[in-house]
Amino acid sequence: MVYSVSTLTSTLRLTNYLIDNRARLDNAVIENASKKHADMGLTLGAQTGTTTSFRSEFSQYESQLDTNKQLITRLDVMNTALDNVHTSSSDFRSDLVALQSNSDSLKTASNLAYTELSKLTNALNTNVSGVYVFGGINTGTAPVTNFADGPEAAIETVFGTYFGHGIDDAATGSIPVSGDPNGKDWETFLQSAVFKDIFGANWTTHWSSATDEKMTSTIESGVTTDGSGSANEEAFGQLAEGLSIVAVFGKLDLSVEAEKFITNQAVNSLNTGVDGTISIEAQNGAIKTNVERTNASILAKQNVLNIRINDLENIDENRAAIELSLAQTQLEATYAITAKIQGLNIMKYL
Amino acid sequence: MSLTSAMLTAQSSIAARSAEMAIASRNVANANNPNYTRVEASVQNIVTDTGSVVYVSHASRMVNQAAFKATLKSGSAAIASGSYAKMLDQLNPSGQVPFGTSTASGIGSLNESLIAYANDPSNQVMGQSVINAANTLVDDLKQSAQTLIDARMEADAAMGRAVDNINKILSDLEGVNGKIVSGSAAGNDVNGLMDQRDEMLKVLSEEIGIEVLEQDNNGVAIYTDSGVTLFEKSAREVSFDASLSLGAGDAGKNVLVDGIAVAGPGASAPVTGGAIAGYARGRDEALVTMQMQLEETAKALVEVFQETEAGTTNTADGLFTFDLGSGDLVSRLKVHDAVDPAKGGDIKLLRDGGINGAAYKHNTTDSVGYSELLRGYETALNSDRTFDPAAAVNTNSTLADFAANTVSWFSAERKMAAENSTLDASAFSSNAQMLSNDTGVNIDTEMQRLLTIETAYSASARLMTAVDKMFQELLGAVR
Repeated sequence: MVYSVSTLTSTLRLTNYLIDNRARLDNAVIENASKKHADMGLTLGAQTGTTTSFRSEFSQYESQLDTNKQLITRLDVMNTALDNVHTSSSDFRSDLVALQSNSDSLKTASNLAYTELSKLTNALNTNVSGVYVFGGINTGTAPVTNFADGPEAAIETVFGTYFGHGIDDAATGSIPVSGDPNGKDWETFLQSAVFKDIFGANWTTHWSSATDEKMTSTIESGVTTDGSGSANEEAFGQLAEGLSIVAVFGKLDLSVEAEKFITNQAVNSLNTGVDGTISIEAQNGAIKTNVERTNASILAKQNVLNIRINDLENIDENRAAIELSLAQTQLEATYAITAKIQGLNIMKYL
Repeated sequence: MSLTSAMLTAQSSIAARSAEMAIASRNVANANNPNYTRVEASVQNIVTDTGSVVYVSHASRMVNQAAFKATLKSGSAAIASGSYAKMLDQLNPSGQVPFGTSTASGIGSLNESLIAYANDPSNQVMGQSVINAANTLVDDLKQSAQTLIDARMEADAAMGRAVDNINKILSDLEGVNGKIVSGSAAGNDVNGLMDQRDEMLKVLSEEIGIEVLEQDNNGVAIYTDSGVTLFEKSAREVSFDASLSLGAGDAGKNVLVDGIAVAGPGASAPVTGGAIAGYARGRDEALVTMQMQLEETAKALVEVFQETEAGTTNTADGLFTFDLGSGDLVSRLKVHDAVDPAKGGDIKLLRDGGINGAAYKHNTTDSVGYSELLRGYETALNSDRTFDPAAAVNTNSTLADFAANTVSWFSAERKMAAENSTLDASAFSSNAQMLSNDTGVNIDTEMQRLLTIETAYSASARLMTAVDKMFQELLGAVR
């Protein structure tokens, strides 16, 4: 049987080839220019959702890194504040120990103690762009009250109630160090609950508006960590106690024994306070390291995601270049054939 | 045998050649008419004792019924899958961003801003960015939903147009078929009419899948590919009511042929070919599923952000809520006025609770660093939820994964539709080419035929001259 082609078919077929090749060329041009599949959905099909979720995961990590950077800033500021608190407190403690042998030394120390107290409040009232980092979750206001604005008066009131006379009264000078049958001596007073509570149980009444609960920060999907500090840590109370004893009672005219005893009490409190502060600082440092480690792992995950997204969405550039040149050659050939066939006409030979 | 009979034979040959010439030129004239069927002269020879005579009895049409029917069938399949693929393509105008991607990334941004706000809850700007992300997401969902409604309405309108066209063709066809039957019975040339009817059948098969059955005297009966009678002696009525709204949950109407549903939800004899089948598939299946997916997304968003009354288990809508009323959920979805500063709301209610009144407030101490609720929302957003199986993707996943899965679903469906459409289109074009090769015109052949006719014509003319000369010789001798 002779294979016959109708004139219409041969014309239409050429048209179809032209359209096909033109479309192929168009696609190849887009892919070469954008380096991505010309039609993502058609190429990836059921995998399209995977790149969509990879992409949103990627941007999730991006924004997580941003908020983590903020957290690190906050932790850095806290670290500096804690560092200041513990160095200056321990320097003051050393000064106290050195001054112990010197008479009248406590009066000098008393002035210094007031300065140290304002340093402590100042450090605990540090804020980063409006967030008071030691406020617990109450980060909107400065957490610690200035010594002069309440705590000092509270100590004097407690003293007055305990001994039955004011702090500036002449009788103060004759309070024994210890051994008073009614407990009206320095040792019993400084260990008494009414005095201790100012720096412990009633800390939030006299000193601090911070909450014990700290802010929680998400540093990675599902992973949280403390995002703020609290001025209510026991160590700060102990530091305040040590400094307050020297500040309030150091300026009084006391017997040498009493001064010695008070100094000792203050040094003891400062010792535990400084130790406590150092451990808070260490913990804070550990959190910061943890966030930094998380950031590093986020970056690593981002890299992996990036590679996977490129795998799915990007075209092989070499292949695309070859496809473009193939499509070009093919189209040129089709043009040439079209022209040739147009010329192949029986009418020319009749 | 005599000179006279030789003269007669030559004469008849010249007449026959002229008829053949007329037929060949008709073929040449229609070389580029896709609906034309080539005709060939049927030359007869009558031999009597006085001589022989040739004449063209009729022009026979070079039909190939099998190839024609295959072309009709593959044509209607190609139109069905092509119109379906085109509908899905229209939802995805930019190749780089598949439909649904914006929703998936909107949910991602909401999650991001939520984490940022929870990590810095005293910062109102962070809160505003949560509200912004929520509003963007709502707008995007609404826009997607509107796109789907528009696409369904367009499909519905296209079905209506197809039905109008079918009715028109059927009534025209009734007239043409009648003429063919009566013409054939009378022995007239009905070739032109049959070409005309073939063209009508082609157009008809583009609108609805058909089966053609030959009847006596070149008549035809037409059935849908599901077996419902469209035309037998007379045209049957095809009816369809366009829908007024096709939001989520609204079902489209059926196309009825002779009272029997052939397309639309629950059709008893669904057609598989033609534009009607393609549009019905889009309108009643794919787009309905996609509307369901958006509805489920909206529902999940509202559930994720629900507030709990302090100290009880009572819940009420939080960040997202629905306007009162009926109809699809997406169109009623909105960011709660109480937290949207643009509507006079207070962002802090999102952090502290209390969108639904003081009983729902959890941050009773007004601590600005309070983030428990925000973190709760974030956890809920990233927890597995149950989705309606009608959404056609995993029923158990996080909302973000659900959104990503719907993107996959759409792209997979579109890819399949595009592949089917390409396959069907190439099957149709090869069928059509085969039909055209078999029944169409080849100019080269026709020209070659013209040359043969020309030669035969001049030979016959030469014969007549020779016979004439012989007569003259004879008559000269007699004189």
